[in-house]
Amino acid sequence: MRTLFAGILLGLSSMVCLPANAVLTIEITQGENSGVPIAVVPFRWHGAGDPPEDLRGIIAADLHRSGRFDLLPPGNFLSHPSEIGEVRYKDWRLIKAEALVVGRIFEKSPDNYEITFQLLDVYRETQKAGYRFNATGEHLRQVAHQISDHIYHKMTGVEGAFDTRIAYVTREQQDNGDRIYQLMVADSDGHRPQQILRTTNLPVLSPAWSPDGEWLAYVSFVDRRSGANVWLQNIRTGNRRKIAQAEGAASAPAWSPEGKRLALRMSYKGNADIYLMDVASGSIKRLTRHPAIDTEPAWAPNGRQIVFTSDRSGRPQIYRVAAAGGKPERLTRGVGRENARASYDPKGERLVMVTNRGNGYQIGVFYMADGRMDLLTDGTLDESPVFAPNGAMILYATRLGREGVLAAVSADGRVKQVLKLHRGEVREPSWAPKKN
Amino acid sequence: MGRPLRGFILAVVVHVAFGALLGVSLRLQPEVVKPIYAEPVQAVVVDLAAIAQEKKRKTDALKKKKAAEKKKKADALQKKKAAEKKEKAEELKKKKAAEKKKNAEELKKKKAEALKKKKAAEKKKKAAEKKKKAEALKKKKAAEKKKKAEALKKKKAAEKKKKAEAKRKAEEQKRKAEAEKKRKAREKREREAAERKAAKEALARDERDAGSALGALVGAIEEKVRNNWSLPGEFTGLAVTISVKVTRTGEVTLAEIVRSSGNSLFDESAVTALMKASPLPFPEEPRYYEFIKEFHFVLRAKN
Repeated sequence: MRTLFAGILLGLSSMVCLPANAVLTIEITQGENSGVPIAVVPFRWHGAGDPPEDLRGIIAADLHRSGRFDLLPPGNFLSHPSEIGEVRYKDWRLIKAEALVVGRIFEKSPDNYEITFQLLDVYRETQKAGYRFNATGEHLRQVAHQISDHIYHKMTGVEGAFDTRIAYVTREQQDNGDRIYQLMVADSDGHRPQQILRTTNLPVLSPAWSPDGEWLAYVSFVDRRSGANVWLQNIRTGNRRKIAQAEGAASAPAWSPEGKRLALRMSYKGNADIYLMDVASGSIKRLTRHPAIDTEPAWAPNGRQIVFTSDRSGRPQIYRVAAAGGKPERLTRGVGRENARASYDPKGERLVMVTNRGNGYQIGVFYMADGRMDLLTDGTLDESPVFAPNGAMILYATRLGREGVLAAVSADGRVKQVLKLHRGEVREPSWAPKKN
Repeated sequence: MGRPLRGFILAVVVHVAFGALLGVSLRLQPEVVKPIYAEPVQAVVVDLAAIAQEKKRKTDALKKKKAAEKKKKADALQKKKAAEKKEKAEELKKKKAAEKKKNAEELKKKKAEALKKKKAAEKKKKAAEKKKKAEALKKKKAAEKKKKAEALKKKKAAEKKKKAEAKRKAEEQKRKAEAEKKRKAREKREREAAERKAAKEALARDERDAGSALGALVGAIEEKVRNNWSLPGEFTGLAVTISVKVTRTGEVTLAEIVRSSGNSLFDESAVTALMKASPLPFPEEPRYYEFIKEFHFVLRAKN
């Protein structure tokens, strides 16, 4: 009998492997990417009136936006447990959930809440994570983002970046024709926006977070006559100072990873090149020297390289140069007619950039190892892309009808979401680092 | 130019002159002046007898002459008038007679023509009636003839059709019979071929059935596990080997990592996929169970 089947299985070698010990081996390769099916049960509210925030909604939106999860619709839930003791795992296996999130909010006293949550493994019937928080009403959204971060970390092995802030610029036309520019800071989901700077008819450009999340560098104008200049503003105190006092206009600031230097585009005698500035002393060092335009510098996470946009080959492409100086090397070849505004992911393996393949401007991810590029978006005027601090998402500016809006796309391009932030034009996002 | 004419012209001139003097416009139509006939004048006795005699004689002669001329003229006129009258009367008489004659002739002619016409009409009428009758008769005859011909034609066509139909049926029957014969022959050949083939393959059949059944089974298991496998990130290049034990109904009772990928999240996701896929699609025939109650599963990330 055994010999007969051994003979049969020989003929099936392409799909069935029979090792010497005669144990059948089946082999599969992962199919199309799909998110992990997760059920987030609405948090049970123990307090007067309605719960102050929809924690479940905030967490579900975060997890969905990351592209790593498939959020199961609450309408399919067979039960609504709020802690591990109430969970019947069979209910969740029936709807094919792999992970389950349960939680509750206690109103201990007015505006004082205790929040608990547990992340459960449906098939192993175990707790993967569980935390308790105390917060006032104004911090409940932040608690929800922290819960999202815990879930994301536990499920993916990568730090979450939901409890982070973003900066961006808005432009609004007043009835009297004045243009109001605002530098804004908001939660990573676009909620709780705060104004950092407001100018009338003087554009604000290129905000960039310092690695400690304390400062924003940006480009602004003192008045209409003088050129653009780079400013540093402390987001806690509001103190600001102008740097780059040199005679040429400065723009496109980028912080070095250790936070001591800025890479800038500066124009002396009409020719734009990349310069490095010591933030403390203000001393300036020239990094590139070419009659073409060199601009939009960005640091590698290791601080040793800088990528920038240059049209020295005729059209804008991405080049890399050692931060210590040297000959720039072209990175983007055969991946789009034009490429611009590159920046690194936190591991230094990928660049995100604006690419033009002849049908408008989209966001692409460029792999340093093999020089290939994946297109993530399909807009016609997508711009200013930036990785989330965990490299899992990309924030960029795009058009929604006639409006300029910010959108987030998962790093694999699977999930896109527009962040509703503001009336008028929203542009030039910058993602703050995660604070520990 | 004679005197009277001169006098006439003078008279006209005088008349015109006076007319002009009197303011009477002269019309373009001249007035006709009638000749004046002198009246006979009575002789007057004079003393001078001879002269008078002579004169009287001359006058008388003239008078006689004039009277004669007058009488002659009058006679001539009278004669002429009478002649004209007579002529006219004769002419009238002639004319009347001619008219009378003409009328009579016309009447006669008319009567004759009317009679002729009447006769002709009658003749024509008779001819028309005759013709009509002849045509009706002709038509009737033609219709009858046509009817007869058509009936005959129809009859002939029907007969022809009937014959053709019969022929066709016969041919079809023949053809059918042949086709049936051929079909039977072919079926017989095929059956025999199939039987030969079946006989030829009989020895290998069990083997192959078992193989394809197991192959299909493995495909179904692969698909179900793949559909239940969700990865929480990118794990390029990783692979994990899991030992799987199943019951006779396909329930996974054990999924144990025998060769880790080195990444616990990846390993866990693979085990979860097998648990979610349980029960695995399993065969109805129990003879396969021996071979898949325990097997190895290799799950590989996309490259």
